[in-house]
Amino acid sequence: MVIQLIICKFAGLILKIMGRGSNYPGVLALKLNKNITSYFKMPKIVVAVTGSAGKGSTSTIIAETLRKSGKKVVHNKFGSNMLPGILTLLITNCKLNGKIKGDALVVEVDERYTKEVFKMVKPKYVVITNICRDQPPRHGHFDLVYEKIKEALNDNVHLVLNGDDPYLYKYSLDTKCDITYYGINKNKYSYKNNKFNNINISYCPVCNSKLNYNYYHIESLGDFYCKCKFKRPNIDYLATKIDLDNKYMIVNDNKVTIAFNVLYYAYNILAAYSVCSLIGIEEDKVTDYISSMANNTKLNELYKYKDRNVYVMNNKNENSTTFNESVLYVSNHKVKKTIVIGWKEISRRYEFNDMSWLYDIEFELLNDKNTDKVICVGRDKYNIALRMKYAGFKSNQIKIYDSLEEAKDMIKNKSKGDIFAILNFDYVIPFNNIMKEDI
Amino acid sequence: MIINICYLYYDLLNLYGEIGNIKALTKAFETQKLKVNVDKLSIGDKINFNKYDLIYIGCGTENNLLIALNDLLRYKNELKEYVESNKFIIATGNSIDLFGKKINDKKALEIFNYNTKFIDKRIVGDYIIDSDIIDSKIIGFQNRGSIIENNNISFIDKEIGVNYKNFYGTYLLGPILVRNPKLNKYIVTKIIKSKNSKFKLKKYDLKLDEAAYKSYFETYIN
Repeated sequence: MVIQLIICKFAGLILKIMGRGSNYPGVLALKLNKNITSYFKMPKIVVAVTGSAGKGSTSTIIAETLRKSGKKVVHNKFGSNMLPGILTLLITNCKLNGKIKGDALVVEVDERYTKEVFKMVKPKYVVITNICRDQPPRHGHFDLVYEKIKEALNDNVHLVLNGDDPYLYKYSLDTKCDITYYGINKNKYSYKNNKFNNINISYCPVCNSKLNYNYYHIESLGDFYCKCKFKRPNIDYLATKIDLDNKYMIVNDNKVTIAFNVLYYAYNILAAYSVCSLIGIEEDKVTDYISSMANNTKLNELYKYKDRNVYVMNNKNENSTTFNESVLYVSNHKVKKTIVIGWKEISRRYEFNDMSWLYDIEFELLNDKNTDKVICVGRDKYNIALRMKYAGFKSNQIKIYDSLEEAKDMIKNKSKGDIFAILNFDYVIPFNNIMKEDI
Repeated sequence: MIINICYLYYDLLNLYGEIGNIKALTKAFETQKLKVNVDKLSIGDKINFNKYDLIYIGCGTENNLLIALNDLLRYKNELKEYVESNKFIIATGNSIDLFGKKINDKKALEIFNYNTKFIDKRIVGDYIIDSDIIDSKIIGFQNRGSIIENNNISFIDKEIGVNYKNFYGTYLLGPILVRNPKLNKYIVTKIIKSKNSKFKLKKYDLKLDEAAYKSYFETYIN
């Protein structure tokens, strides 16, 4: 095993010198000896973060917080989150006896590879950020993802879950894991009646009655209860006050800065806060470390174009939840506005061209008296425009363009109000470049 | 004339944007200056079959499909009567499983003679095919974990759909009526004519729908 490990380490080194980071050492290792995955000796602290969305930022916040607390942390921060990628991480960061060179291992894990990866890294803490409608051609549907993760868990795992999510709360019925919950209290953004038609769980998993809510945060997240015993659990790490515009929330009397003013980012921070506290870092320190982290502008941006605010929202195509969060965010801004929606391609992973996910997004929420125009851009412009028609926009409000370059004049000069760009990640940089040409 | 639509299991069988079909139907009826009433019904609700011109039902997770089946079995006879009396049902995605004899070993609604079963793999992908009811190709998408056996009442083709009287069922998922404006027009016209054969149709406003349909071929096929 040691020889094989050396070969793989060496291969990684050569590639690094050549300036190519890759999963090759892991791929090679699996070819040389499948049992290599059981060779490693894990540090005391092992955290795995999985879920449909937010696992990258959550694992990064955890890793950074642990680092700031003085720990040496091994983390797959560039997002190689399948078995070969994480194996490469271990190969690169272990001694020849397999011991990981660090106090903590923090891994972001693709939800489909949890079984293999958890077997290898034996996580103590597992965060499941959410299980949402995400890349259906790849994942099938959320129940299949739920089951995949369930198979990867064992009784020694300590789960860290969003307690506002009744779908994740099913793990309390289906596993014997210890569970710590985080959540957000009722606040000025919460609402009383469901706003979203296509959510993953509407019925109680125990008795099949319709779930009730005291309030919602988004989609099926909120203070849920059933007439049977199934109800939102006691929340261990609760944000009692949250103010997204001023970018903070209060958790156990600590004022935590939220790097960007969207709800899911607050949840990511809460997940990280919970894990770091469980590991034993004092909460006021966790608060300081998290609050000092730079705004992750890769996710979202706000800047001025002349006298107009430009809000850039980074979404994942075929993930209706990320879009629904953006849509809710836009609809909460009661100002005159223009909306831009677009992307280069639906998926860079595969050739499928399904449009059904557009109808899982509640674009209807954008259609109010404040919206001047909806500008639909990219090669699926007609499908986006058609979705806007069915969201109730009038045909003179819907503008259709092949490219951002062609849409530029309409966005900058012929539309009114603040600009809200709801984009797939492949359009964020092109959009910003075009807007910043003549700021 | 009021068109009454029942959107059945709207909160359970809504996996792949099925609500798009309700929107497309509603808009098309409205361009004919008809009033549309959509009742969203689900588990435990009373269904008044006499009231409806169309029942629409979409696809769900395997688990949710079986929950729906348990609920719908109480209306087995009424559903059979509804179909036999030439009333309309549109079933998309795996909801067609409900109407056969069995799903796996579990008794289904037994309105038709086919059986369906869950499989370990998923059948996923774009699906483009000639249809015998409209003069253009139907475009759709599949993402399913069940298959149909001994189906002799084919719609689109026998692996993928069933048609009997005014029951139209297909494994094609999601907003198929949005994506296929001619199919939408065909169904809507047929429903109107079934209520009033002398109804004078106005022009449908499906310009954007047609543009999206056309662009699909230009962008992805040619």
